[in-house]
Amino acid sequence: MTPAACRSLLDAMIEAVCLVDPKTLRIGMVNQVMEKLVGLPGADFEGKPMVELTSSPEDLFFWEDVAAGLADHILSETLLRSTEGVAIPVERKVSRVWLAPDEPVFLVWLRDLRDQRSAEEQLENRMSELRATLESTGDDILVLNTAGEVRHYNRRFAELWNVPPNMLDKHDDPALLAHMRACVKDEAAYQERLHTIAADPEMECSDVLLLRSGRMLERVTLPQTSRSRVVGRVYSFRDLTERLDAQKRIDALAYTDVLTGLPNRLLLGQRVAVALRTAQRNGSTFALLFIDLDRFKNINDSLGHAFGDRVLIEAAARILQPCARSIRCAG
Amino acid sequence: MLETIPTQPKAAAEHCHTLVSTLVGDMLCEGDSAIRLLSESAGDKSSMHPVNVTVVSLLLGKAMGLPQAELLDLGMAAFLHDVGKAQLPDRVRWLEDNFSTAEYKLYQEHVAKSVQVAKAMELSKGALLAIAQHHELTDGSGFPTRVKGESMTVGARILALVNRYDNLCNPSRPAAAMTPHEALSLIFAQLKTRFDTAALSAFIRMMGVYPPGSVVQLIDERYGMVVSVNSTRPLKPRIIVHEAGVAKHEALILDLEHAPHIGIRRSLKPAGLPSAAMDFLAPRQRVSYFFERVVDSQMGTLA
Repeated sequence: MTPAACRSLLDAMIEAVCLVDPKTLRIGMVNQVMEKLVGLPGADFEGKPMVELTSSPEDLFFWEDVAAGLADHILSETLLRSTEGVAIPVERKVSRVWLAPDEPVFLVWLRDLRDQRSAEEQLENRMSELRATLESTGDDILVLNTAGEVRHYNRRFAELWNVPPNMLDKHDDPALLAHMRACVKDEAAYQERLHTIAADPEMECSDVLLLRSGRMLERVTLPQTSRSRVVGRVYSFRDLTERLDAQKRIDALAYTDVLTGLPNRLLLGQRVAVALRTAQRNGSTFALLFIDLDRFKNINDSLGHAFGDRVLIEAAARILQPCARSIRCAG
Repeated sequence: MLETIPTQPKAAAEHCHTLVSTLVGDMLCEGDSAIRLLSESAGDKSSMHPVNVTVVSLLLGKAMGLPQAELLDLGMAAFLHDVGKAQLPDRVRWLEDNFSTAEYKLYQEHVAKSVQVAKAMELSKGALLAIAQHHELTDGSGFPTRVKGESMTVGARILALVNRYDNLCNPSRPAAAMTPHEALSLIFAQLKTRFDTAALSAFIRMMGVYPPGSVVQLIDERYGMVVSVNSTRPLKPRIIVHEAGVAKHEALILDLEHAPHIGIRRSLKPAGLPSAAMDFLAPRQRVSYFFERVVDSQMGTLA
């Protein structure tokens, strides 16, 4: 092949290409894409040793191997030195070709990886943002794919379920799911419910789970869809234990008398209203027993309020013994 | 150990000395040592970096034929080179791209502070010099005194190189971490003039092009992990290859020297592995080096 024919062939190529002399390992012909990639006219680097262009250790050792007759091809990612002294990531392929039966030459092919790298970097940043979001949500999240394998979970999930750290490190999905099963009070019902959920990929539901530890969790599960196809299932858990305890405390404070623990006037009003409605609806009757503690004021006045309180507590306890419900109304 | 430095500098120095001599003794007397990955999930950045730098510096010092006394100095300097950072405010301890001039200046002060601490610990002159020069560069572009390569001790040249390498592999922002292979390539392709040529070429010979523990993809698309360096043919290390359906203990160890048609196409971050390959190769998120004696084969065992 004539040099002119060879050059037109190289220039027709879409990627950066150059030829390397197999004896001297110096750069022969370069195409226009290569000139653009390197940022220099070809005349400036034609004739230079190839290792000066791609100057990573790999290239150094590869061309050493070539000189020793140990290698004649390579395909890998490397760095290209550009005019600004900045290293450009490239994919580089070297192969030995024969332009004529007795004229071997090395063809070096370079592909600029900068766009790909910056896309990868963006993707990585987006991923780490997503991970951070997952970690910053108030719920404890577990994501399974349609095959039931664990895809994601956040730290809160691991804490809520007390998952041992070594189980998390090992990526042992069956062990993790078994651990969750063992935490639940009613394993059989839990398992059955999971089967029902698994049978319907599009199901959305919310359940309450009682754990052996006494905690109560709300489990909400929604299908995870991607391009309108179900690809998995997201479970989010919320610990209800504290909220329920708080609700109980609020109820207790609202409806009972602080001193005696008897239901208070507020509850009396509600109960009487219910009793009235029932009686009206059924045409039945009901009775209200009003018990007064006579001359109680004397106790307060002679023995003091502290003693009066004790009498009230004792009286309340005695009333409660045979009777179902009584209400403390006055002071 | 590092906590006792302010109150009992000399006792702490003795403690360090014992540790470093053990490392040096192991490497010099017990034959070959292989670099390999060590799980460091427990260590935080400030306790891991000194250990990495110490082990790799000592290995490089040994490869360059330093006498035992100089290795000891190098080990002490490597272990304590950043000890002054404890006196700096948190936010300037690790170099960030967005540092203001004032922050950068404060960051640079860690060298002087480290030297101060090292003096209180009564370290040898060789170790003090290596600490003082661990941010100097051979082209005179380093800090704090901008000396050139010829004024740097061999220990300082080794420490400066290894310190930079480990900072590229284990930066404070994990997303910016490079693979060991990328770090080596970058130092070689872009920063070659800043480091000692002899140290750099010994470093590459020792680490190989793809250091042990590197996760790689082969030209046939399979994934694998480098288990040991081939120092005569650095492009042809031994790797453990992931194949679907093969248990880890039966996994194939491929010697690329004897497989001329298979090559390494690229190195990648462990996080970039597909999950099946990740479970199989189970590489550690952060790279840390430890050396172990090679007992019955040249091949480092894969933990």
